Amino acid sequence: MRVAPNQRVASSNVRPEEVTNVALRVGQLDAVMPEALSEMFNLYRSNFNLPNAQLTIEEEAVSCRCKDCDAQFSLDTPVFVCPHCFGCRVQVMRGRGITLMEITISETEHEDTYHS
Amino acid sequence: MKIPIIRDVLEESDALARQNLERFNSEGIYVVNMMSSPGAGKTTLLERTISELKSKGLKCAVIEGDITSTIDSEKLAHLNIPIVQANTQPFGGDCHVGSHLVHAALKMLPLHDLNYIFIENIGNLVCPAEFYLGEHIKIVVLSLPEGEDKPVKYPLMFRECKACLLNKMDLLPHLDVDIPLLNKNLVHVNGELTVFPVSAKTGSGFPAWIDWLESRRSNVAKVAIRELEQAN
Ligand SMILES: Nc1nc2c(ncn2[C@@H]2O[C@H](COP(=O)(O)OP(=O)(O)O)[C@@H](O)[C@H]2O)c(=O)[nH]1
Ligand SMILES: [Mg+2]
Ligand SMILES: [Zn+2]
Repeated sequence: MRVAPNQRVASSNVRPEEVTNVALRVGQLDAVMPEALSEMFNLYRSNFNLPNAQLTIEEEAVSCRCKDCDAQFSLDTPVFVCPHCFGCRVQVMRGRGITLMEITISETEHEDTYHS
Repeated sequence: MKIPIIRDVLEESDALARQNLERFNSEGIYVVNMMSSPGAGKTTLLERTISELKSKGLKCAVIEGDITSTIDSEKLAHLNIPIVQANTQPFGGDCHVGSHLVHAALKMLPLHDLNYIFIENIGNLVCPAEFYLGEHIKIVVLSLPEGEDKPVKYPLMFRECKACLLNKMDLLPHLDVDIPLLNKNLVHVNGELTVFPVSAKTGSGFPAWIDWLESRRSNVAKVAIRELEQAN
C-alpha cells in the first residue's frame, strides 16, 4: 500500500523530516489489520521518506442504513440485517475505505526553518 | 501543527480504474471481475461461460491475473480468444489484480472487436475485494467444498459483488454442506446478492447465469446509447 503524503507535504513547504505523525482512518470492513499496518510502516519508514513519523490508525466502526425502513444502525458482526424491520437490503454508510486524515509536523523545527 | 488532509489512500488507483471504465464504455465492452479463493473454479467457469457466449456470436477476451505461470491461459487457449496474462511472477507474489495491470492489459486487446472482457482475479477472498478496476460488475465464485461460513468470514468480498456463482453443485451428493445455512449466511452478509447455483463441470445452472449476464450487459449498452443520443 502506498502511504505517500510526500507530495502534499512538499507543496505546503514542509520538509519530510518534520512530519511527526501520519493519521489514517481504516474502516472495519476493510481487511486491514492496524498492528500489521503499523509494523509495516515502521519497517518501511525510510522508503516513505518520513524518518521521524509515527503512524496512528483510527478504526472506523461499520454503520449502515436500511433501504427499506431508513433506520440507521451500527454493526459489531458481519450480519447486515436491519434490527428494526429485519430487512436485508442494507447500505454501508461508514466503516469502508482507508483515508489519510491528517499529518502532524513538529512546530519547533518548522519555526526554525520559517525564521531562517 | 496538524495539517488536515482527508484523502482516500486508493484515490490514484481509483482514478486509473475510472479511466479504464471510460475506455470500456466508449468501446461498448462489458467487463466482469471474477474473484474467488484458489480452486473454486474461476477458470473452468470462464471456459464454459465464454463457450456459451461465443455460440451466441459474442466476442470475449480474458485478462488472466491468477498467480504463477500461464497454466490458466493455456487452459483457455482452445477458445481462440484474446488472453492477456497480467501476472508474470514465476512464484506468485501479488495478492490481487490492480487497476494499473488492467490498464496495461488494454493495450494488448482488440478493444474495437469485443463484447466482454473477463478478468480472472487472483485466488484470494480478501485483497481483491478492496480494489476497483473499472469493471462493470464483480462476481464471486464460492464452491461447495469451501464450507457454509465463507460469506461471514469474508464479508467485504460478498458485499462488493453483485452475484455469487455457487459452483461445484455436482458435488452436492458427496458433501455435508448445509445449503439452507449457506443461503442464510449469504443473505445475512448481502441481501441483494444474486446467487446462481451452477456446475462448471456439468453446465447445470448455466442458462440462468448467462441470461442474467447478458441482461446486465444490454442494460449498460442501452445507457451508453442513450447518452450518445443525448450528446448528439
Ligand atoms: N466437480 C467439479 N469440479 C470443478 C468444477 N469447477 C471446477 N472444478 C475443478 O476444480 C479445480 C479448480 O478449478 P479452476 O477452474 O482451476 O479454479 P480457479 O483456481 O478458481 O481458477 C479443477 O480441478 C477443476 O476441474 C465443478 O463445477 N465441479
Ligand atoms: Mg484459475
Ligand atoms: Zn429496516
